[in-house]
Parts: sequence; structure tokens; C-alpha cells
Amino acid sequence: MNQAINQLNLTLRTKFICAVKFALIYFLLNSMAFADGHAGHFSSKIASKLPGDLLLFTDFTSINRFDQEPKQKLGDNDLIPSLNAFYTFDYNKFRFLGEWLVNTKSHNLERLQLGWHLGESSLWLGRFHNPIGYWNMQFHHGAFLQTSISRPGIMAFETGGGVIPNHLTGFLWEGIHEFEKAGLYYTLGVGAGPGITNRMHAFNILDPGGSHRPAVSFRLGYQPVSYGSDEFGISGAYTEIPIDSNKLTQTKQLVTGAYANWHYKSLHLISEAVYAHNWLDNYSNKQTNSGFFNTYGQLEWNFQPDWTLFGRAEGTFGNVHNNQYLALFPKYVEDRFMVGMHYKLRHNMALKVEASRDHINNDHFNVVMFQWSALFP
Amino acid sequence: MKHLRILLIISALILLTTSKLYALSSRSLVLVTSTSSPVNTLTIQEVRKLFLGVPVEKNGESPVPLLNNCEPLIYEVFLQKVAFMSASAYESQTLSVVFRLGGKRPEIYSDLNALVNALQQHPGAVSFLWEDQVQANQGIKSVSVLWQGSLE
Repeated sequence: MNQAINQLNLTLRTKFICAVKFALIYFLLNSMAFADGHAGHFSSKIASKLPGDLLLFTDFTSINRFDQEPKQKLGDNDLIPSLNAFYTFDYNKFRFLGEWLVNTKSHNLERLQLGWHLGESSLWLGRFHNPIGYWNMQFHHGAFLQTSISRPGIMAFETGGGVIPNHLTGFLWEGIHEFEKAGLYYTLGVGAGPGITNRMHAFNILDPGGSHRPAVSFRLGYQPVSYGSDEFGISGAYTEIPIDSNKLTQTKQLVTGAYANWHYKSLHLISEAVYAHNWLDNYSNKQTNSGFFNTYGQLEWNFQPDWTLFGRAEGTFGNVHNNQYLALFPKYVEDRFMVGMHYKLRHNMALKVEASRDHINNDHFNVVMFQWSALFP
Repeated sequence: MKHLRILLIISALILLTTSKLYALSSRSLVLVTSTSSPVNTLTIQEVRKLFLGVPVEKNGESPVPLLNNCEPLIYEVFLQKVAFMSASAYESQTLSVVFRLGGKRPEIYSDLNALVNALQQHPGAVSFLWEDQVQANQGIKSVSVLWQGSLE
């Protein structure tokens, strides 16, 4: 009993210390931004003294779940402070890029890439965002870049119970081929994929343990205006994933998808449709296979310069409840209906509120989330 | 005959006034760099890419963009005629490009003298100015016309 109380006190103390540290970082960064007095998300005098560019994404997210039924699988409340540091610089034809995330749930070297410019394209070596779909590469841990607080269930991070690999480690070739005003975005990634134990674990450069097998993925997108925000495209991935569970040993996974990111006046639509098929091996050398289909659509309406109303519907179809692969991910959000509001507080800060009805593995619950997010310097 | 002459004079006066008014409201947005800069002309598409944080290499040179926000009008013309985006879309797209692909967001200048000084001191740097501002400042030159027209 005493041990449990001590453990609880320790957890509370750790959370409190974390919150104080984040508050200090926030005030320090905020004072830097005010002192600098720059407008927009452009290089400040502090950032311009660096040979490259530094982006510090920070956020506080409050998650409140209620009416969990029939079972309570997740905690009722969570407060997650998070800091994502990104730095990039060029040296002649080479480019370095690194991204490190720390929050109360995990800390990870998200990206570590060394690139070589090859005309319109670049060849990267290192750990990178898997080019599956649109959302994963576009927003990743930049909470400030995202209008919503939550990510679609199919694009959930490995650390958050995600079902498709978010990171690969190996080679990535990407570029944009321009023809007149339009552009064709292309990317091809080849490398070591994740492994599955209690959840999916991407290859960790700093701790390269565990079992990892090859993965290959691509994305091809048409941009009506090259380097613009509108894009329509397809993506695909083949990944061999070793599994450490009572029944399964590995899966060979094929993921295909199509996406659209489209602006029309004050409206913005992001939508993806993904089909995932798994060929699962078990200990008795028997192979079973099953597939599922997921789609989501997020509509945003920027009805006032600083105010955006948004909503997202997402759903998983096909063999969902008897799917041996999905059974490995008890936190996977199969269906969700969500509405929210985004308010741009300053050029580098946003406040968001989001309410949703989520469905995970035969359970339903309601969620209300609040988030303050910012970008420095 | 006398009436015809008066009519001709009036027409000429009207034409002269109109052209003078047009000349007063007509302006040229030009890409500028230091007079000692090796940077040659760039196309609108290349300038757009450069100011979105994408590196552009031309004739062995990699120009560095300096964003001119000294007056709202020149920034607005740049957004409409070169970036083809609203201010908020341009800001978020620049951020998104750098976060995804690397590179560097353009350094912003809200003081004309500081911008001209930076251009003079860094021969690889480029920015955009009104053509008359280039003529009024020494040590900088125009390398290409980005937009020309009348401001209403």
C-alpha cells in the first residue's frame, strides 16, 4: 500500500517537474519571440545567426475521456506537454536534418537524415517519415501545423498504438518534377521496417536492437501548382514485420492508398483511403491473411481570419473484428466522428478544442481535447 | 476647321493626362541583388521556389532570399504575382516545406535601409523592390522584372 502511494507520489512529482520545465521553456521561448518582434513564420534574427533553420514545436494537450463502455481500457484524463525540436542545415550539396521529440509519454529521435542534392531531387540516408499517405509526412509531430489535435486513427504514431509504420531507416529518394506551373511529387523509401511486441517499434538509430526486416514504400502526387499546398496522389508500401506474440511470428504487409489535399476559397479538405492486407505467419507455420479498409475525410472552414471550424469522419471496414493483425493493437481507433475549433492566437500560437466519439476494439467513448500549440523562434 | 482644331487639342490633352496618370500609378516589381553579385536573371517560378525555402541553383550560384516586408503593398504584390498565395498560405507553406524537406525560411526585413545594406554586403543575396527604389540606391542592381502594371 505504502509502495503504491510512494509510486503515485513519484509519478505526480515527475509530472509536476515536467510541467514546470515546460512552463520555463515556454516563457523563455515566448520572450525570445517578443524580443525579436518578427512577423510571420520567417527566420528571426536569432534563427538567422544559425547556419540552418531551427523550429521548436511545443504543445500542451489535455485529453478527457468519459462514458467508456463496456470496458474502461484507457485512462480518463491525460495532460501531455510536448516539445519537438527540428534543425536543418546545408553544406554545399549536402543537407542535414534532425528532429527530436520529448513528451511525458515518450522521447524519440524522430528523424536523422543526411541528404545529397541531385538536381530536382534529393537522396537521403537515415531515419525518415515513411511516405505512406499524405498526413504522415505533412504534419508528423508539428502540432502547430495541424488544424486538428488528433491524427486519424490509421495515421496514429507507432508509440500511440498505430497500425502502419510511420518511420523507416535506410534510403529515401524524393523530389518534385516541374512542368510549367504544375508539379509531380515523387518519393521512394527503402529500409528497415518496424517490429511488433506489445506495440509497433520503429528502428531506433540510437538503440538499434530488436528484429527488423526490409520495407519499401512510395508516394506519387500531382500538384496543380508546384510546391503549393494542393495535392492529389497515391501511395503504397510493402513491409515485412516480425511479431513477438503468443501466436504470430511475422506479417508481410501491403498498404495501398489514395489521397487528396484541396483548398477552395475558405474551405480545405484532406481525405485519404487506405487498404491494408496482411499475410500472417504463426508458430505452426500456417499462414492466414486478412485485409481491412480505412478512410477519413477532414473538412475545415476558415470562416474568420483567425478562426477555423473543422470536422472529421473516419471509419474502418472489412474484416475488422476477427482480424488477427488489428487484435495486436488494442488502442487503434477504428471509427471516429469529430468536430473542433482552431483559433490562431498569434502568428506562432494556436488554441484548439476538439470533441469526438471514438470506437476502439468493441469499446466506445467520448473524448474532449484542448491544446495550446506554438512554434519558436 | 476651327472646331476640329479645338477638338484635336482637347483629345491630345486628355491622352497626355491619361498617360501621365498611368505612368504615375504604373510600377515595376524587380528582383534585385548587389552590383557585385554573380546572380543572373531568375524566372518567376525559380523566384517563387526560392522564397518558399527551396534551394535554387543556377549557373553554379545558389542565391539567398531576403523577404521584403518594408511596406504592405510590395509584400502584397509579391504574394499575388510571384507566390500566388495569400499571406497566411505563404507562411504556412514555407514552414511546411522547410519542416518536410529541410532548407531555410527566408529572413524577413521590415526596414528598407537594413534590406539594402544586407543586399550590398552579401553578393549572393536577392530580394524584390520597386524599380524606382533600385535607382535611388547605390550598390544594388535589378536582374529581372517580376511584375509590371498599374496599381489601383
